[in-house]
Amino acid sequence: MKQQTGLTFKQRNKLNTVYLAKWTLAWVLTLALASFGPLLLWDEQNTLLSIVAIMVNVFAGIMMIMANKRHLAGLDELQQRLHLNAMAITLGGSLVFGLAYSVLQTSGVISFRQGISHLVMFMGITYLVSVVVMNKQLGAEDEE
Amino acid sequence: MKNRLKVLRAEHDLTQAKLAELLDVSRQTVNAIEKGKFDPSLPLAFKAARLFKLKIEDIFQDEEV
Repeated sequence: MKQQTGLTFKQRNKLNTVYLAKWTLAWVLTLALASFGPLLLWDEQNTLLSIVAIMVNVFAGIMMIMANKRHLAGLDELQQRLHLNAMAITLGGSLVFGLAYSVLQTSGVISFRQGISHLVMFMGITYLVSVVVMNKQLGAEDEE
Repeated sequence: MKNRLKVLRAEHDLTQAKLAELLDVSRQTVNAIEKGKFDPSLPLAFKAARLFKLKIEDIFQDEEV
């Protein structure tokens, strides 16, 4: 049984994953260009080039979001549920632990300053661990 | 919810991967349904019923009944 596109679930999923990987790579590279370009490639005073680099990065980011949306829509119902739960844990964890850390910092309990990069790392690791743990719980990775 | 998916699959000499392809889902989903760890949506249950030429209730049963 094949969908109207003529592709099987596995083939569609693979195509969507490759499409997402391409736009994610484009976003990462353009982010690096926007971040390090003013230091290594052009004069820091040249704000026009910096603005263009940021605009290209935002465009790649929007395309990455659309590719992620397409990837999620192409998953089956079990996988969609897994990712929905992982997103809920990631969003909740980032909010709760991010704000708790911020309060600890402002109240002077800890002095280490966290940046946006720490939050991105926390979100990435939380999402990854959530997906792996839920896969294990459902036995979704067991062999037949 | 109990189901007879594993028995029906064996009767039709299908692998999990082949059944997954026929139902347009991942093999992991077929595995989770067979083990009773995941209850399929109504459209997926209808698709399985059509595939095996059975009624939904012949494949999936409410455990409280």
